[in-house]
Amino acid sequence: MTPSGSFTQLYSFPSHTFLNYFVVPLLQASDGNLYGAIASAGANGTGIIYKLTLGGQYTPLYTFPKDNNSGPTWLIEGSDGNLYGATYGNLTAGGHSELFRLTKSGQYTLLHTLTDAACQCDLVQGSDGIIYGTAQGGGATGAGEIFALNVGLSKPAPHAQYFYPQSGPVSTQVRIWGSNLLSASVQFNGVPATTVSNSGSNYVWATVPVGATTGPITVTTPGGNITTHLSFTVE
Amino acid sequence: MIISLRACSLGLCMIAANIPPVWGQATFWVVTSMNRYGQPAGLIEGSPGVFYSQAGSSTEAALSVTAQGSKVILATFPSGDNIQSLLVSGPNGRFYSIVELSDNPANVFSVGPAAGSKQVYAPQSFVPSLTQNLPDGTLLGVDSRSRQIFGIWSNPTWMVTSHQSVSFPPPTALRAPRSMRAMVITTGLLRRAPTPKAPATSSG
Repeated sequence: MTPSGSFTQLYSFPSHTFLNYFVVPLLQASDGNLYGAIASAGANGTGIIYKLTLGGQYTPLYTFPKDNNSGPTWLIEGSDGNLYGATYGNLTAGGHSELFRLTKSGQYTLLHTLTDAACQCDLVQGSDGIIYGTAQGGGATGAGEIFALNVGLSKPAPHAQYFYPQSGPVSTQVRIWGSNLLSASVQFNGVPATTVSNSGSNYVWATVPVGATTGPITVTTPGGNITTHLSFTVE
Repeated sequence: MIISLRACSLGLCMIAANIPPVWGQATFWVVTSMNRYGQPAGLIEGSPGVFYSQAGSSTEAALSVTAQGSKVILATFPSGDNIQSLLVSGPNGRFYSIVELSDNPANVFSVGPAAGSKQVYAPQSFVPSLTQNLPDGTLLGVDSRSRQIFGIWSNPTWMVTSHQSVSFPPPTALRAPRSMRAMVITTGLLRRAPTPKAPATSSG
């Protein structure tokens, strides 16, 4: 859907695909494709993970086996480019929730079985590279837990997709929007910004320094750096 | 090889976090167990090593948790009030969501990093779910009930500033515990930041 509200159907799933189960948010990965999971679909009815191009080409990547540990409920992309997710598991039938890795070619690796906790798990890769998640049940009191999973991922690289305003004099405060921007430093055409502050991992505010000239903005974090193709114009 | 530290102490957790596992290994540990406010949902990192989430079933709360497991309850809501969407970070360092008070209407609320920082904004005429922040600093939301309103919320009033009516295919019945889960898929294209291959930038 465009910002103006124009709606385009990319792919139509069979009727009742999402019936009576969790809906997993779509993920747009670094390759530009969309990845999604359906908890109750697939040949075994225990879930699938699929790829969908922006042109609407649908490709099933992985079909979960017919067991009690399946049912994907979350999907993220790690800094290594692989997909990481969680399954719900059929606890009432003796199953367990699982944390897994899936390559974009469909190779599945079980990373951890949650023996006393229950997903639906919301996962996020922290700025330290570790995957953190929430579990709805389990923990010391059975009321759920927040957990961590270290699989040796590097710190996520920053992405800066937009900045505003795109021109201004020295001392202009510029808002940069993207992802993985925590602990950022900013340079305006190579000149360090005088003040930089984060508002979460999506926003950085940077002040145009004395001596800055028209040119790209570079954002550097512990995970790497990124330089905009567009230039900030110093007036 | 999988290493699990189910009941790790703070020291063990820190050790686990600081030792990079050999390729193929995964080290799991519990950062914190929930108690009064259970069933945590959503996790966003607001500053390095500090995560924000929400939890609760009968009574709900917004909270922060450090990577070392220290919890701070930032805001609580009385029984019967339901937080309708996961927290979304704003451009001002605060975190936003929707709370449906005992009955309609719903209100946007925000919390800051400190306990007691809750702000509840003016009632809305419908019950949206926030899905993500946008480059211009506004927040994007959808109405999970009418299925047709696409709201954009803006500082400083956090009221609807514009919305689009679109004809989503009607969703099937869902068993998700929070209403936002039912609708995120309809905005999935916008949920995640654009690919790093976007033409505006290059990585170094």
